[in-house]
Amino acid sequence: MECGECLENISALIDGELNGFEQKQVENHLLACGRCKAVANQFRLLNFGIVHAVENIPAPSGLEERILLSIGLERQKAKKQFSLTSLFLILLVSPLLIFSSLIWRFVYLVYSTGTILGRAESVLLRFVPPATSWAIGIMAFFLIVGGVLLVRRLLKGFQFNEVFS
Amino acid sequence: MWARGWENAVTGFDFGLIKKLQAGNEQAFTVLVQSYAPYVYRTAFALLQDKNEAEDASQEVFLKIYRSIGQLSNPYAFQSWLKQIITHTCLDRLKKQHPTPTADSELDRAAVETSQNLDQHLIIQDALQRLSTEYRETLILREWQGYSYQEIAEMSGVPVGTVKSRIHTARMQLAKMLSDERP
Repeated sequence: MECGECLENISALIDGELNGFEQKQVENHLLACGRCKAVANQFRLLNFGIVHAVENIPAPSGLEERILLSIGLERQKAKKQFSLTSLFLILLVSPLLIFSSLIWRFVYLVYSTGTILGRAESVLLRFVPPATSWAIGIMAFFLIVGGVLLVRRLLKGFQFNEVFS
Repeated sequence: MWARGWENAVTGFDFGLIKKLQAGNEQAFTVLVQSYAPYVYRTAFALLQDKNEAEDASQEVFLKIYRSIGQLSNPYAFQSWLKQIITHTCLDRLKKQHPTPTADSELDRAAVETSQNLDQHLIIQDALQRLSTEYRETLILREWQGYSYQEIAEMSGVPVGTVKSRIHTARMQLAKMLSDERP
């Protein structure tokens, strides 16, 4: 092998890109030729130097914060798009709901419940003293608030994302 | 054989972090950014040789991760997936740039010129900057990213022979520049 041919293949040898026969030929030439061997050593040192040089490129201060900020903006944008899309779909679908019997059954249920509660209120006002009626109302209010607080406390720290994703 | 930059960057990686990321854990994303931002920036700067472009590319890389981490089925493939995202993001940006040799930017070069004690890595950074875009891109993909000639050929859309020739010429030019720098 001539020096010219060897020099052309030195990079490929260093990078492990030669086949067995080519590799043997170049290695044999390097054993015999000091000039080509010096080039091979120079390239090996150069490769080490390139990795070292890139490792030492200084990252600008505050880079992580700026990346996280751009992610935060992306997240806000995604939420906004999700809200707008949901709203648009609801507006698009809502006219169709008047044809749903389920919706009318729900409206009827609300109406019936209201009527029953109204009658119960009339009976209570007739037979129970106003003070007792107020006491029952206030107790019910505190029970609801206490119940909500209890549920919140029980679910505190629960990873919804990990469970439902 | 020395460890390539890529291998150094991923040593001791916590794969549980990927599962947390896929579950939408925001804290995990902060950890990922803090761990990888310097590596992503260095790779982008080595390829683009422009501070602002490298920072924009870094942001783009993490946005791509944020958007598509859910689609990564195998957490153990994260590292090569990240490497591909960085490389493709930078190569796309390079394609949009003018194909002329990179002009010297004021960055680092000024530091090299003003410094009395020239460190070897700064001299190599400066020499890399003076290489033409094609040579630098091919050499960085090989040396820093650890891609094979075949992979570089596929990414750059050139024959393997061209990759081999570019890497060899780039090394020859770098070696000459460095020997010229020596007194």
